Amino acid sequence: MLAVEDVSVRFGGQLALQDVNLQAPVGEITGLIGPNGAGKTTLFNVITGLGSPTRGRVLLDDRDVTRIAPHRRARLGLSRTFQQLQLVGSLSVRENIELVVRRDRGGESASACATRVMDLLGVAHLADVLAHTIPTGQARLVELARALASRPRLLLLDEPASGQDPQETDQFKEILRTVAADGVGILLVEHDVPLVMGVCSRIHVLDYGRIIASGSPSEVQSDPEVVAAYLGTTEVSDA
Amino acid sequence: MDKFLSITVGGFATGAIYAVAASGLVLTYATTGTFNFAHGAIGMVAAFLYWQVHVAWGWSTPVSLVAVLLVAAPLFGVGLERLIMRRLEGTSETTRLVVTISLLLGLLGFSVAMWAPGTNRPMRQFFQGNVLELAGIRIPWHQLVSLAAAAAVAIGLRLLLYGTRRGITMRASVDNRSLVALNGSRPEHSAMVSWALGCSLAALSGILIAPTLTLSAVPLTLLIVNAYGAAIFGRLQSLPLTFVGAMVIGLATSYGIGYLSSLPTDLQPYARGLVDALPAIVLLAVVWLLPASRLAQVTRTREIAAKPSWGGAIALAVASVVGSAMLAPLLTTGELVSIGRLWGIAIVGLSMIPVIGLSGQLSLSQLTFAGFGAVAYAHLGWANPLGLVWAALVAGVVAGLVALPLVRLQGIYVALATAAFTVLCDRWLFPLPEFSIGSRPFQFFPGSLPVVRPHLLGIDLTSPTASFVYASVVFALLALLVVAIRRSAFGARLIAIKEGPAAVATAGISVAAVKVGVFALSGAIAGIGGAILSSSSPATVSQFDLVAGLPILLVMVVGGITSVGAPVFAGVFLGSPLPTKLMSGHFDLGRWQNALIGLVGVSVGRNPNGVSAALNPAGRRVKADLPVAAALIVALGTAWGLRITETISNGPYVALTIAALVGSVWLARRRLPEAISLAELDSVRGVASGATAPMIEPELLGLTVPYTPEAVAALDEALDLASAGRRVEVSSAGG
Repeated sequence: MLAVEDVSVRFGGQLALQDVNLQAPVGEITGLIGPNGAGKTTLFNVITGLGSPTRGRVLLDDRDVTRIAPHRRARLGLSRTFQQLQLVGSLSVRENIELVVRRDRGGESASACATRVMDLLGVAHLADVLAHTIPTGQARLVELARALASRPRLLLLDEPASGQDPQETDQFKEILRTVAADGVGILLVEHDVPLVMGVCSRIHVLDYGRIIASGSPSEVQSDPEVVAAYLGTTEVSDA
Repeated sequence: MDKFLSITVGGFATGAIYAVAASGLVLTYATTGTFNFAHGAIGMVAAFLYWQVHVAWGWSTPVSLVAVLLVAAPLFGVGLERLIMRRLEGTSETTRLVVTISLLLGLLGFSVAMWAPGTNRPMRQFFQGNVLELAGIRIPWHQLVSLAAAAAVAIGLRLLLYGTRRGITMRASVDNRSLVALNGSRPEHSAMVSWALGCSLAALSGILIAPTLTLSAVPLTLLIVNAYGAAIFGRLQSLPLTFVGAMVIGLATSYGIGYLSSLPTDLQPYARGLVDALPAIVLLAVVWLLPASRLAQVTRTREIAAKPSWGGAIALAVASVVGSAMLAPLLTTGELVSIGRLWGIAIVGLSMIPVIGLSGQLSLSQLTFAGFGAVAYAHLGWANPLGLVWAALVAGVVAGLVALPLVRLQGIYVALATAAFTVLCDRWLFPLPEFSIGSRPFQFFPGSLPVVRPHLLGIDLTSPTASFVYASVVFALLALLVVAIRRSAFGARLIAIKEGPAAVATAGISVAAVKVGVFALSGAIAGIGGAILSSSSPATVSQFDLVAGLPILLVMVVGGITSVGAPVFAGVFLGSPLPTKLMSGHFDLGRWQNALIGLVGVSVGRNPNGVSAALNPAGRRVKADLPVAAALIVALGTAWGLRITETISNGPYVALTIAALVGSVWLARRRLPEAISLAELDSVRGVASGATAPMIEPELLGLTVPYTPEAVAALDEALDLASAGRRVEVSSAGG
């Protein structure tokens, strides 16, 4: 269980996040939506340790990890993907994935683990291709494969479906469900509203650094403040 | 009290000169993102030029100043921007730094060629002889001029950057060049202005500082390196803080020099180097106090670290050893001594591959680590390979310790901190007189180090021939080790912390641990290089100083810093008299050697992956063509046979060897048509077999690449679109 408690981030005079509270339970997919610049990526950075909050705490299974280095949080089971792809271009897809396999977790070898996650995400045919040459939609899957290879308990996905075509998005939905059913908690930032509404059990809406609504997809969809701030009437009826 | 006051005023005056230099540095860095390592060298050349027009040609002071500061220096800056810096966009920080290092070496070489060292060139101070008597102390006018110049620069820059449209564009260019262009300004103009201004400021500082010491190229270049400390004090952004830093360094050096004579006489030799190294110490202190850099995210780069194949690595290792064994008997003892440094230098070059090439940590201390290895090896005096292990251990531990405070930093800060460490070692630590550790007397370099010739399992390798071959074996083994590292999981981590530290940190890898590890490892390899260097000839302090280390880095980058072939280039170019011999045979090119090396270096912006990457396809073609490869080996062997039996002399032997190499590449090319061999060797998919170029660039299809159905099909296959089927139809319709 990931919990964010009263997190605020200030950049100079700008309040990027203001008293943000949210939880992402294990085994469920939690959505985080909001317009561009709402602070979603900033929040991800605070959770994973790439940025530090001005105030507030980040808890992982009731352990305060706010002051812990990013790689230690990852070892506690926190993993993420990035809005801007962060694959290591000079390495092959397989090497990118084997990079993060933790040998101390025992069980399968690095290459077996890499093969397993590549099969799961349907990117096994790219194994020996250099990461800088693959197209974005596929690269997102590889990045997700890499995140899964570190066997996370909580997975933070930053716009994983952008750059995917509708067919890929459908497959992606299934993959997310499979991963969550495996006991992994997912916190999903995504602009593809139908995708978010389709897979999330709970959704938090971030606007100007504040959580303006939290609830089930249907509750969020009907929340007047959300409608006004983000979704817009037509999009709600579409979804 | 009077002494204190006049030392203080002198300190401020020196600080003022550093401030002028540092503000130029900060200006170009802040507006173009390139840290100009050659800033000091530009000031040095300007000082020489000023001497030339003012003293040698007798131009008046104002005319000379205008000619140097307002004409020559800005023109040089504009040329620099247009011809070199502009082409560096999209290259890594390493490449950009190396380009400016090349420029430094080129300018150093140029000045030595133009103004032969050893001649006395008196530089007069401004208003020499005039002093201002104030509160009982005498202040030379030159110091007042320096202070006034700094004040004028401070005010001028403030007005330019905050009061003019050009200045605002310049400040905006730092953040986002393309955005500035979209808003109707021309960022390249801003860049040109800042390079022109930066060069003028460098020139001003050079002219001001030259009269306070003799007009001599290397000290002058390095003296302005002191200004780097000030620039870092301002974190390469803030001009006011840069001025404060310059004053701190100016005062510290002034007090250091002024009060050195107050120390007990027996302590003075120990402290003297410390005074020389003071700016470096300030720089180290500031770097250590800097807040941690943010972990960088992946950005697109033109540089791809190809994965070396075992086949290629073994071929290189065998060729090194066999080549040395074939060459050594052909040379006289004198010739062997003069190329004795080849493999030592090559190993130091090799040590740069993991740390600089793979992990992107710009260590400028590799030759210093080699120095520690040389000292450890020579003092222990073990002639067997265990002596090398000891050298590796000592140098590795030193390098690991140096890395500890650097793990929070990235890019240019690592380069400057390691440069400062190197300066601290070569100005203070290495030249220290004898001191005692416990009760044992110890001195890093007692003049020169005793030569410890290798000895292996009772076999005497003390002859120059044997120790040359022994050194090549050590190199070959280490080259294989470096390839093994690159291919290992640790190697993947090294590349990952270079290309995407944020991604690997959030995937559970400790970036700090990997950095310390790679520094220790590379330091250990460099240490072995140092030991090999000191096993061939008596090693001295100056062989391990900052200026000696820069050409190795330069040749490594030109050769391809991730390739194990590059160290051989470095060894041949810098550790043997070959280049000078080749050049001096015809006309006096020898004295231009450094300038030429510098010129080659600045060209790396065009091909940031280096010569090895360019030569690699040629080598692979020959290897793929068995008859040609066999013929090459026979031809090389025959030539050698003719030479060893003294049928032919050196000249024809070299000519035959080169002809065989070039001919085999030509033959292989003829026999395998370009298109097929490309497809076969690089395999259009860009498979990770070491392919350096991405497949066919889609946007060029039909433009520079023929629009054939095969090419489109290959592209579709690579993009995994073939299964969709529809693209193939479109392409055949289009073709």
